Amino acid sequence: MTQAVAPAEGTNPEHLVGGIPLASLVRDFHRPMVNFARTMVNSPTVAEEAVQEAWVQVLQSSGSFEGRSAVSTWLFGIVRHTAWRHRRRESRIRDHEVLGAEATERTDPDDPLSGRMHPAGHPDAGHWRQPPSQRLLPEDQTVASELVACVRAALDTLPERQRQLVILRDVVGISAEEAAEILELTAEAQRALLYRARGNLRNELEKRYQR
Amino acid sequence: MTAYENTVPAIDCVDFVRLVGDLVDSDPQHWGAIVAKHLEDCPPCLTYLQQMLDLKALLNHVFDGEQLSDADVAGVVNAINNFREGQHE
Repeated sequence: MTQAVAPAEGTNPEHLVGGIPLASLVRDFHRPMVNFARTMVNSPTVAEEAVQEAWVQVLQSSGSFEGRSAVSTWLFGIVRHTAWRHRRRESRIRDHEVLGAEATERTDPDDPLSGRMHPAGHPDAGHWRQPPSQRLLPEDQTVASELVACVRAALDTLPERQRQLVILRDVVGISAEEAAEILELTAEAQRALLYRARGNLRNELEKRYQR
Repeated sequence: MTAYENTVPAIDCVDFVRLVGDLVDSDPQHWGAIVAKHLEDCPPCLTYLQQMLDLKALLNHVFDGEQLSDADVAGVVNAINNFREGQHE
């Protein structure tokens, strides 16, 4: 059954979604939503399409948004579903990366700091074997565009779920609880995944100083 | 001897790096004595914490320049409209 759509209602930039004008939401969230969708689909074009579809759903269901979660949580939850649908259309196989409590174990082989600490039995067990060398930013916190480009390149190398979580937590600024809800993770898995994601990014940037 | 000697439990570096995710997301005023003691005693962990704070600052800039202009916003709203029309044709 085709749902009737009120002409023009959804096209009004002043249309309120969760009490916020549509234009404001588009300005603040469209690009982050596309970046988030891009972690799940093959092409920028498909990511844009998935986000447009998400906006349509947002408009169609804005009246039923009860404000129990932040608008951002609701938006990214919808994008996640529309992007997944596009992904299924692309017949791509999801690279599962489900993290459980094991990721927080001290002996996790995928720990970004694996091998950097002295192992159990060593006189300095639990302390740095290969300590980090230096800060990533200079003392005055000047952010060089070259370094930002490195971070962006490093972000692109992360596994999908890690990239999604970093975008939500550190780029968009969504809380741990909301990110866990969007990505359907337990609180512990969210924490473990973020530890791994940030650690992998740090490792990539550290390589920059070792070249 | 530090100000924390014998009064604050010591943690090792493996435990400390597990805390760093929470530290970079919280107010340094609330980090507490265990963290302060470890940072005082362990320069490598201080560097690690600073790196993770730097990383968080850098991530704020990765999508700089991508905020939509008024024209871009209007374009997206039009695209949504076109998408809706296409969906219901």
